[in-house]
Amino acid sequence: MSRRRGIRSSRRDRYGPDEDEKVDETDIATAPYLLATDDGTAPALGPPRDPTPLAAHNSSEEPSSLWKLGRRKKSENEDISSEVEPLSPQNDQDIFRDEPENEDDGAVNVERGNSSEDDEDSLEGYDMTLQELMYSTSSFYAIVVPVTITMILSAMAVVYVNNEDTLEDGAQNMAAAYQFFDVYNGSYNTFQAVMLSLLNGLIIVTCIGLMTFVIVALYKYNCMLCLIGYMMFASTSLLGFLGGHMWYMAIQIYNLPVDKLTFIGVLWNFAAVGVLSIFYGRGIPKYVAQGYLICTSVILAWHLSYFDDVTAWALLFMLALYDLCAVLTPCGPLKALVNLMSREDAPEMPGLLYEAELPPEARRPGGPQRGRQNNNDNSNERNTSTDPSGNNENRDSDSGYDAVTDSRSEIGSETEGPRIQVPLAVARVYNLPVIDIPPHSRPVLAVHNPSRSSNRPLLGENEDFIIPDEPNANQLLTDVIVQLPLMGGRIERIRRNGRYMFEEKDRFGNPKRILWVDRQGRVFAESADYGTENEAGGKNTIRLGLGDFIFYSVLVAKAAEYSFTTFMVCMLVIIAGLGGTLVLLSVFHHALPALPISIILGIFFYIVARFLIEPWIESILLRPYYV
Amino acid sequence: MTFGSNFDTAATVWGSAAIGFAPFLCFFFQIVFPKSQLLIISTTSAFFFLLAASFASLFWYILNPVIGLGGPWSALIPGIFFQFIFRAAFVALYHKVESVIELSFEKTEEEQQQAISGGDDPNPAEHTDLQAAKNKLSLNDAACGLAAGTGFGGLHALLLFGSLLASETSDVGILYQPSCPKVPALLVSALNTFCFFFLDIFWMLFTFFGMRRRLIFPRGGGSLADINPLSRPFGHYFGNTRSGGNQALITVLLTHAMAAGFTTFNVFQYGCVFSLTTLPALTLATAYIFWSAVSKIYMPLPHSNVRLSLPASFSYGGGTTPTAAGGIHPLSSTTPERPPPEGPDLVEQFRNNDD
Repeated sequence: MSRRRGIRSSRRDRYGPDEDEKVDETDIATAPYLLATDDGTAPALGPPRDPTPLAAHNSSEEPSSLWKLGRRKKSENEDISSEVEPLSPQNDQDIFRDEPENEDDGAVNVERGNSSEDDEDSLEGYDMTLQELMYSTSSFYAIVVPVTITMILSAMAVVYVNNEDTLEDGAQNMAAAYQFFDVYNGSYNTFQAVMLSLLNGLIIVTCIGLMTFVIVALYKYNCMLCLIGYMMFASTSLLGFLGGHMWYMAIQIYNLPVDKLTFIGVLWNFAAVGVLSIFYGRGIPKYVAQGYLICTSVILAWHLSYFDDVTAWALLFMLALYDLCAVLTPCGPLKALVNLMSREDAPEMPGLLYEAELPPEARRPGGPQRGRQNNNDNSNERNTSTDPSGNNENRDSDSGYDAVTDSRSEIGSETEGPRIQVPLAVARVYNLPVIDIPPHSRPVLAVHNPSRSSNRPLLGENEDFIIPDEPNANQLLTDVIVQLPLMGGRIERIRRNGRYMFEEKDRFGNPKRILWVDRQGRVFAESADYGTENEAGGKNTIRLGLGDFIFYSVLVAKAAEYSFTTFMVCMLVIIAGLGGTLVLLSVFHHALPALPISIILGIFFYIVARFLIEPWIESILLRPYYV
Repeated sequence: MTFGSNFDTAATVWGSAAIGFAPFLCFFFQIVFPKSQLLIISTTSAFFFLLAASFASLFWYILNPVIGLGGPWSALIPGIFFQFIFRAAFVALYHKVESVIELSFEKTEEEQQQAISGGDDPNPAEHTDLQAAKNKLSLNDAACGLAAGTGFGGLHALLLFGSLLASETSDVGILYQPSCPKVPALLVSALNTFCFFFLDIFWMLFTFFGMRRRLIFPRGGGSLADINPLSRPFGHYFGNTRSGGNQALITVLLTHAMAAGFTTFNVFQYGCVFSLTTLPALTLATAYIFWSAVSKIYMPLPHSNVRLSLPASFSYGGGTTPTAAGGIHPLSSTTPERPPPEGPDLVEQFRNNDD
């Protein structure tokens, strides 16, 4: 029952790299490089003014007719559609142009490229306030619908898939299973029952905390097989056994005509599809996975609502306090888990978070700047990598190359621009001058010069290599090192859906489009605004822990057991509390516990509604009056 | 239990639910739900109704079970009073939020203008984001008044009618009350709920109007002519003045008290004949008052979330002239938070807009 709670907002790949993909253990260099010609003239796109080794693919044709801009269709399938055409040089010369250097441009680039914590408190505070407003508004709108649906379904399940006998039996079973002090069967007065229920809640919460620490330890030491295996087993059990128990209860109460084979078959399919959609997901529409997460929450809330009233409310109160401590305190297990999951390339843990997409204009406050900062931090690292196999055929399916950065080619260099390692196909698109080739490309492009002395290094500054006029697919996929001009557009290596791509940015650092190279060496592009944001390979989403869904639903379900008035009141205050939490999320910019505000408000207003509002309404409706 | 009885119960329940909740559902899903900011406003206004109900029930609990002052008015008067108070409180909160949002817009626009004037090519993506933010976050009194009224009236309907509806879903039969022996109690409540929902909409619109005028017009000044509705044309009877705003707020109190009072006819046998005729009539009358007194001057001037130094007795149209100073005073004694926006004369602009 140690479902992860708390709200996170992040843009991550949902699933880690494929098993057959080579995962580069070194950090990915995502240096923002500038694209233009060295002599400061523009543009790099289009036919070069001086013949360079990077000629057009077919010199007999006009370059403008050769290259056509292609756009990829929206599809999860990574295979290139036959209808999509490769990239062509654009007529737009604004992106890759060596702009005259001035202080303002440099300041803007540096500022945007090297954002720091001070930026968040800088003169762009009102812009961030607007951004925070947008983000909190969109987050609330995105998350309130599934939360409301879950609460309503849970309340209906508790009210209609139960009768007095089942409630009594369930309360006894839960008391026997979970309560250290048997409040349900014992003869205690109200005060004693409340105190003992709080103690029971504390014991349960302690067990939850211990299990969460175990999960954190497993995640930290990358025991993902164990974790995901357990999660899959838990989801299967929940959907299959608890869901089956719920259905069986409905069959008994309403005398539904269902045979055993149908019962087992439907349950098996229900559980299997649920596990596949939650933990695998590819090829399955997202709303199916979201629906199953809601079903998971409803089933578990129905099960937990069997606690007697005092125990249930005490448990909710203790869980709110636990969530507060676990997420905000430094030693909290949930805080540790959030920190671990916030790392770059941290593996995803499906089954714990409900993910709702936000509109593109609702960017996470501080997100793009942090993204640029992360990119720039990575660009300052000097990483090299070699491909031991030298096989270039599977480059587009991710072999994890890092860009090579020269010690002189840091951002803001006054003499020359930085260098980047890109496939030859990408270099040819932008007519970038090839400076050198990395070691792993040597077998493909290097040409041994017999006039050279054998004592000279094979690969140096004047190493001989030939860029063919008509490179084959293998050569197009080979990485080359190109030098970029000081000012102008940029290219960054990013990772999306388990493969490496290149993000083209203008001179202001704004993403323009995403490039990738297929197995035939063709370069394709899609708009950078297409379903992604500035950070590498991520979606703009708001995430809410499944535990929050569950315990919101438990509270509302317990309120619905009493009356419709308490149900409505509790549902409203939970939504209001969730809205308040989202506002705080956009202000504080880090994970926050989602339970405390909503649960505390829910408990308070449940008491007010039960003992004040409902009697008042009953007195009004006696005649009936109305006010 | 016969099949016919069950069918009657189900028909009564579903039919009453449709009558009682249809306006709320239509307003909510057609107007409120498509816009995120309206959804937030609606949710917040519903929460304010909950606060009003909590305070009203607390006062009733003190008056009735504790002190022993029974009777219908011990429940109705606190309900009327606290609903009015919390409607006004909600609108006051709305004004604060509106000013924060407008300030954010202005700051962002100023920064972009500075970037343009400084020669730096502005980032078109930021323009798009700002425009998208404006579309998402922009507020106006009409839409927000409707959304707030939907939220306030929606929870009003859900608590007062939904409770009764939920209790009537069992198959124990159809409840009839002495006030209406021929009509099920559920249907009577549904009709009351239907009327009160529309009344809630108008009350919230009146509150928006009244609180806005109280915000932008200073105290003091004015003449008796300012509260004379006959000196203005149709649609402006209340006048775009502080006193006009006060009149709108008093209208809310009076009509609410009248509406609740009409339901007290149900204490008599066959009392529903009077309550079910007077309540819809009052609803129509309230709608007419809104149409005749406020509709033409409902929308405020731009940037009306601060005191713009318009005179207290400024009246729009109708032949009445502003006070001695005339036009717009630079700064009044009520210190405005910021100077009025530049541009054409706001009086003329407002007059031209209305024409």
